[in-house]
Amino acid sequence: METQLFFYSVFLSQIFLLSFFFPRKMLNRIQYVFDTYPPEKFPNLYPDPIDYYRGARRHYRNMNVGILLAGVALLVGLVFFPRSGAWDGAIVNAYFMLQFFPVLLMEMWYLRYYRRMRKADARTTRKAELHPRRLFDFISPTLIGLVLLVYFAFVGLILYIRQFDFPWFGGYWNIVGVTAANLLFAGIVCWNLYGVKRDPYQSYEDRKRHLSLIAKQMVFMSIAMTLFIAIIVVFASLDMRPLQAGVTSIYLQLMAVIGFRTLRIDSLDFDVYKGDPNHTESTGPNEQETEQGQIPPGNTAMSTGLSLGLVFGAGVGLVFGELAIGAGLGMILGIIIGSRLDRQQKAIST
Amino acid sequence: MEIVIDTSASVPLFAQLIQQIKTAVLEGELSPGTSLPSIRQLANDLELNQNTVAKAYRLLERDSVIQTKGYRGTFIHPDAKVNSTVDLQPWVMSTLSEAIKAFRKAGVTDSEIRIAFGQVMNERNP
Repeated sequence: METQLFFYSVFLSQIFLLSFFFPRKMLNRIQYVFDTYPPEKFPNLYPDPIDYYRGARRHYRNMNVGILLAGVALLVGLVFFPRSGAWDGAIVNAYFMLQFFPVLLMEMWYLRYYRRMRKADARTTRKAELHPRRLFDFISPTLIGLVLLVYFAFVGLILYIRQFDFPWFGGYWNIVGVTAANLLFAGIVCWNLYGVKRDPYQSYEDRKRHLSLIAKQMVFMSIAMTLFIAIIVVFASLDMRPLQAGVTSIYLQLMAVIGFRTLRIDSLDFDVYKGDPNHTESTGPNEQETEQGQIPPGNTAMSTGLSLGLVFGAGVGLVFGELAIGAGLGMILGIIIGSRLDRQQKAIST
Repeated sequence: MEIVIDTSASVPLFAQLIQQIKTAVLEGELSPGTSLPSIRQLANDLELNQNTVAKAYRLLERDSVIQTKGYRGTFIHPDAKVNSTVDLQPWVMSTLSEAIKAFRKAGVTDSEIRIAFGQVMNERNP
């Protein structure tokens, strides 16, 4: 009973944190930008008409409201309908995937937004700081040392548990999975550190602070992920599996708390988005591509592709027992399908 | 120190890079031993082709304004200040002018000079 209560309270927290608290913060942030930095004074901030962004914001809000209601309904169902509890972990994962979907869409929307911003950028001068960027400029060596310490402690734990020959134990695959995830985190940091900056107008100071934030996020995510897998392995070996669903939910919430951290908006330099009267106007975005206040057809196609991918991935994951991996693969598949649909729709509209 | 590139200027992009780095060295903004960003980083920041930045770095290294120390990166050369004042352009121009004047005097046509110049330039080991 206590285990169930623990699971319900943690799952309730997951529902509200990821589908109410963080989305609300995000929506307030977007609204603050609309109100404080209007397109008349900051034209570079809006490569599309503002109604388009208002529409995207509305879609994001509606999506989260739907997911929040679905989550509450799911929790009520879990409380009042008897069940074995064996699927609790899978339910937490599946619902998290659903909660993650608007974030994924938002991230893709941001990619498109920066692409449009670059396209509309008519400046012929480009600036760069003549200083090398190095990882330790943005994060302390102690934190990197901590990541390595946790990782090698995890490897040691896996090698120790391997001696007992548990039937459920994945053995070296745990190390392979954690190593791959850590390499992914490292790749994201490198991509941000040395790659092309997404926002063409971003000031160097803002970029440095953003890089520092990304590096810290990836470090803490790496530590949290490694510790989580270690805890799950230890719980399984101590026959404490009923607690796993609750721990999984706490872990996912922790990842969201780390991932949703952003720079304070009032500390960002918005002057870079002000219009420059000396610059000739670029051809800019094609107004015919979108109707005001509506998500463009390309985004709809992308959402369709992603939904298909998610459903397919979750199905495959459920059949083969690895929901997270299945849904992850599904998302990649969805992105590929969505991109193709996107391109086709653009070709048709052209 | 900030590098500014104007893509609409008639001066080639690699030449703008070279000029600004040399000027910074002469004005003391870049002192010997100062590390420079990698080719990839600078090319991405300036949204230039990596070959353009690589060409600028190669020419600066040839002139001993910068030096590459393997995996440790690229640094300002200890003699960069002296070497930044050396501009090979006038010397190249005067040598070429003299050569062309000699060819014309010998009766070689401009077209023949251009073809010969192109052939020599296209040879890998002239």
